[in-house]
Amino acid sequence: MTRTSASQAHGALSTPERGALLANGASVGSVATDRLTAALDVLMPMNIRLDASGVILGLGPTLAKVFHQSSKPDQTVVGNPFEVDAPHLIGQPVELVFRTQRLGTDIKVSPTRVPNGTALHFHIDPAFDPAGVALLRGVVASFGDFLVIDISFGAQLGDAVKALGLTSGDFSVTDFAPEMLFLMEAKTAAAEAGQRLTRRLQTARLAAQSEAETDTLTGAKNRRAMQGELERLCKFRRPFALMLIDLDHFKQVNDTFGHLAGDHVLQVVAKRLSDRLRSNDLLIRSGGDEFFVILQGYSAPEVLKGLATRLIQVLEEPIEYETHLCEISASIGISRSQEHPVPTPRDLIEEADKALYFSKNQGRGRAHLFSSSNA
Amino acid sequence: MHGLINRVLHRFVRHRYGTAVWLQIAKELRIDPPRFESLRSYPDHLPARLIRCLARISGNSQHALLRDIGTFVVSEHNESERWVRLLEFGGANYAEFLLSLPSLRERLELVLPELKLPRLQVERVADRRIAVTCVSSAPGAGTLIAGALQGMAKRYQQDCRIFRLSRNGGGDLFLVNLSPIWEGHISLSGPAPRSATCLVGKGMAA
Repeated sequence: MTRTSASQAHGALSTPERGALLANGASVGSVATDRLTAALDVLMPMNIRLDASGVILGLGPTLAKVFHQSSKPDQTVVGNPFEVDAPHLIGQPVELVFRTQRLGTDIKVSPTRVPNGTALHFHIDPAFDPAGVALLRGVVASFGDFLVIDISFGAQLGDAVKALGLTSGDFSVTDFAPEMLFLMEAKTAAAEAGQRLTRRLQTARLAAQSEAETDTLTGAKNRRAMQGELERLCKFRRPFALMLIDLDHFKQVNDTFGHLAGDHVLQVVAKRLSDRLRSNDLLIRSGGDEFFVILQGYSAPEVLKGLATRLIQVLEEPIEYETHLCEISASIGISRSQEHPVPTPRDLIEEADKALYFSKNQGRGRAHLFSSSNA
Repeated sequence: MHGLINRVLHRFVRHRYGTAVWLQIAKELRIDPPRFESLRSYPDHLPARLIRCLARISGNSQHALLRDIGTFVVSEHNESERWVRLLEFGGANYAEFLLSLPSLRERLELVLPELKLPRLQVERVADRRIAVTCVSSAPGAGTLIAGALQGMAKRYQQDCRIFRLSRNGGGDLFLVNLSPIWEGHISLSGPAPRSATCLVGKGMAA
């Protein structure tokens, strides 16, 4: 660590030059040092010029703006190198407060004791901070007896520009701050647009999925939905029963009254079935005149048989189509997941199918529960 | 074509002519769903077709529409586009803003590289007169820019008149007169060309 002091510094300024470093022509100075100050303000619009004892000689034009709105002088603020309002800053001593990372304690240092090129991060007390810029960033460079600290808004750039109404003219022409601002806004806009788009796509995906899993004729779910639901129930070991309902005499309706009559009957069947199911039961039309019902939860065999019998009864009520009365019935086969230590959709469908076959063989209009005895 | 441009047109139509007109245009041009995603690309010919369609429905000339769209783009009604809020960053006053146009263009191109912005040259030709040259292969780009310059004058509360001095080979030369009233000649180096047309400005019939 090298320490810069007046004795070792090169190019110490003469007295007139020292005067010229005072702000805004407030003091006498040579033409050369007036130019030096002007050059500093052009190159670093957020500079602070200090003398050897850490007293502020002048501020760059943009930094002066930062403190312009503040009007609470005479407050000593820890961490704030500027103890008073901007117009009164000139001639005030500056004390930089460093927070040591290791100890977490504040150490007050005169800027003259800070080595060249030291990076500074310092806070401004809210009372002095009209822009709400909590943290500034800077670097110290010694110039003879004098110190220049160049300051930047760092990551607070967007907030500072908004609060202070800064324009590109407040930054050095070579500063990337304006580009940074545009990139920050573009990044935020792109992120927002991305989120909006994702939300819309998600909604559309759910709608498309629901559509893809629905039988368009009856509004019941289709085979794809059934497969998904059975897999889910098996995977999470949820008890359920599967009911396979096959309409009897449906072919006669189609042959006698036509396909439109058949479609109408299927719609009425789906309506009657779903009216008698619980909300979390799933009605599926798996194709043709074949329906499945997935009944969630544990159900006793008698309960299932009772439900199946009632369903057959409501389906046997004649269905009006134009001037005709269509009469159908249904046969039902039932399987239960708890019959298996590790149930699979395939097993349950097969067993329901076998039980249905049994019902049909028994003379239609009946319901049977699968058991190994009637397999 | 970048979705952003189409979104601005969508917003303009709804703001100026209402949702019913927008839905009519969307239906005619088969824009379904009737809105644009800023992150998506759309066919290049869509903006021109949209403006033709709007001209027919609204009874306004395409020229007038382009100028109004230019004004709308930089207006507070379009501030839901975040970059619009950055426009005034270019300068503390309108003249400074005009002189910063080439940088503004660079910055917009930095964040939206797909956007094909016209090339802009700006020169202060007299104390209160600034010449803006706009070079673009897109027809109507100059008119759009002139509308935008007028819109920015409004944001800066600066009275001004914008004249198109010449037009050749895809380039438009505008003179922005920062004085509220006509001050003798308008020229870069001599008397005002007789062909100068007042495009936009205070006191001009719409």
